[in-house]
Amino acid sequence: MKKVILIRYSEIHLKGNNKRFFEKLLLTNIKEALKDITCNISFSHTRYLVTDFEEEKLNEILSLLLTVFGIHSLSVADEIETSVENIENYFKNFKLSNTTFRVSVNRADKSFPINSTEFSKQIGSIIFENNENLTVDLHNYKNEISIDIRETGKTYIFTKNIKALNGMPVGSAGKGLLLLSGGLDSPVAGYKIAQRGMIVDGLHFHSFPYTSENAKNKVIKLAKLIKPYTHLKKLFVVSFTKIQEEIHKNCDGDFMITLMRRIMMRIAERLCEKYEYKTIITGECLGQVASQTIESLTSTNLVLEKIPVLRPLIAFDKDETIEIAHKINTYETSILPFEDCCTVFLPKNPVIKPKIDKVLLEESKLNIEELINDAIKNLEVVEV
Amino acid sequence: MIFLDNASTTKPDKDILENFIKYQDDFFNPGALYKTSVLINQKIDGIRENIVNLLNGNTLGSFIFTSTSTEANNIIINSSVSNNKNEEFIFSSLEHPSVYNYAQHLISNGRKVHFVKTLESGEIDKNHLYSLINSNTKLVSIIHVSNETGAINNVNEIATKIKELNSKTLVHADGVQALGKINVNVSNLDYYTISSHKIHGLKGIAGFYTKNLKLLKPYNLGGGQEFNIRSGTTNAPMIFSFYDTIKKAIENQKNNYNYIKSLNLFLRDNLQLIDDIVINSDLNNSPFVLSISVLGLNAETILNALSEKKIYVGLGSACSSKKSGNRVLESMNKSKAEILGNLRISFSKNNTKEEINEFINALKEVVENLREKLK
Repeated sequence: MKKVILIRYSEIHLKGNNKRFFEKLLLTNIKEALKDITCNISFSHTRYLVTDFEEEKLNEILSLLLTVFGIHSLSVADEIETSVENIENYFKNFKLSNTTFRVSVNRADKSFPINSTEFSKQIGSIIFENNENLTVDLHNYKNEISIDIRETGKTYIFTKNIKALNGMPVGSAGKGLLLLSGGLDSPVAGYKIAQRGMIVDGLHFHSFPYTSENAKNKVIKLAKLIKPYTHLKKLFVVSFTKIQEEIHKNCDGDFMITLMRRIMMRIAERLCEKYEYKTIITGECLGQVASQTIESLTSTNLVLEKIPVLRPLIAFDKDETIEIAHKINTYETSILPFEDCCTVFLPKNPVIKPKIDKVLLEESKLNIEELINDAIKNLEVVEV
Repeated sequence: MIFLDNASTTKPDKDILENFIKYQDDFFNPGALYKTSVLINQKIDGIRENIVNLLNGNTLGSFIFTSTSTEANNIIINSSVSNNKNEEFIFSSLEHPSVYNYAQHLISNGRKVHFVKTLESGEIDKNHLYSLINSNTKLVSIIHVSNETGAINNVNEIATKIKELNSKTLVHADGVQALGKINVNVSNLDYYTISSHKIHGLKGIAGFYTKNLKLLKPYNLGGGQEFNIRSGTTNAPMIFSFYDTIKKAIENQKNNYNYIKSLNLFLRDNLQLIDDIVINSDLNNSPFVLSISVLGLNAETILNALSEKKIYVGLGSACSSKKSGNRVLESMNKSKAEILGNLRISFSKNNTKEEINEFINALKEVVENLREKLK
């Protein structure tokens, strides 16, 4: 008897002709997540199986698998050779007490001589006889004992389902560029979009000397933290100092944030084209701050000609964002108190509902093309 | 590179480093019973006595070695707290975070804690302090030289007055920014903390003078080293090196002081070349620290821009520079602009007049440039 891990996928089963593509991609991602662990990973009939690992690595493997999108649930199972006698012997030593339970048999191996319902009853009574204070309850049970009899001649027995991240395998939905600020929202936005299968790289704007080296390091750290989920490899770092200074010098200060966001979006779009990202992703959330009112979002959207913006957190409550930030361990880093690009040159009364003609008037005071070209020319690419 | 953040740490002297390597021949565990270890132990005990003498301490006093002054300060405060919930503790608002945050910890545990007001000069308000002393006052902790402004509190004299008001009150002074820079006399104090890396010694060794060993409580449990107050294998080579560092700093104190004072005055004079700079440090302060405020600018921006030019200055206390605000300047009633624009320039004997000159030019350029851009 040996311990194995059964992996079930989530909505891939809804796919039609291209199901194989998703199944293969998820296998690749599982292998990537477990690349530093000695084990065997196989796939057959909608399930992945991790075998031949050292038992002390079990918890590490489980936590790594809990970073892989596309997995619905996991079970740690005992694997035995299929035979009525073997399975019955296994349950003669099975310990369970003071609870309600049921036995579920899945007989994928149709050559197995006893049908599922019959065999469930048979095993149930063995468990019942060998333990104390048990009640069988097929509907309101506390413990479900699952017996999965596969076509491979192996039977898997498990008692728990560990809920995984669901979603789609990362890589199935193309590549996007995430605006990563250093705050709470953007890492969570990256995580959420990766859950739908998108590979994410990062783009960070910094304003040295108005922001410090530490602020940049913080973003690199955040990029590393979301890497297991998002497959993030690159962080583009663009200096925004000159642009902010020019806006400050030439434009109405109340429009600072609107103008900044519009230029950031333009730079992001250029990088998307150059590096083949299909979308820009932001952590914006409707109404959270002045730059995230529908009028402000419209104003930033208007500069984009070819690339869409996805805002996974648009309807999130702050509590939901914080909950995910805790789950993916970005919270503690995000709340470190370093200035970020958006907090310097902050106007006292930022426009909340920017009117587009006024925005365009303010923008006409800048040589936007030159500013953008300069910023991109001095781009730094950090391999995360 | 111009290093003007010597209150946060200093570069170890070459001779100190070289001797430290030689001292590794005495790698033996001083706790062992064979002769070589016993001899090392004797040598360490001799050093304890000598350090007590160098600090002008009580002959019955002793010296406890720790890894950091934070650890030393924590041991001292921890030892003074008993189960008696009526006892009171007094701290200045100028304390280093290793004392200040312990005070906050006591407050959160429901203990009675007072903070002494600060004068505009940056010294503590002694009259306020004395008014706080009563029969329940257990411990007073006052920084000797402020790491933020260089303001000097005459802690030995203050201790004498405190003892007149309540002879049982224990008095601690954090002398990390004082030793080797100004005269130190701990004769009336119960505890005094010093550190090696602030005076061109190695990092990882510090300690404190104690008038009465018996009042101390074990801080960690283990092999019973350092009179069972601070267990952990005794680091003999580091202690030898620390002793060298202390001796050297005190021997050269007068020369260094005069030299640093001249750099400090030179900088003060030349800062007048830049508009709207406020000097927060009094002329009577320790010349090793000069606190200034550049009005209208965020000090962190200036620090970043100077760091690009390989000129390194401090932003308030290095231990608290990641937090916004500055409680020391706040306690001195400084304005918001003075606090936001606060830089700490701290000197060492390795700095030269040319460096100060270069610093002034760079600061002028950075400040004028930023002011122009932020206009």
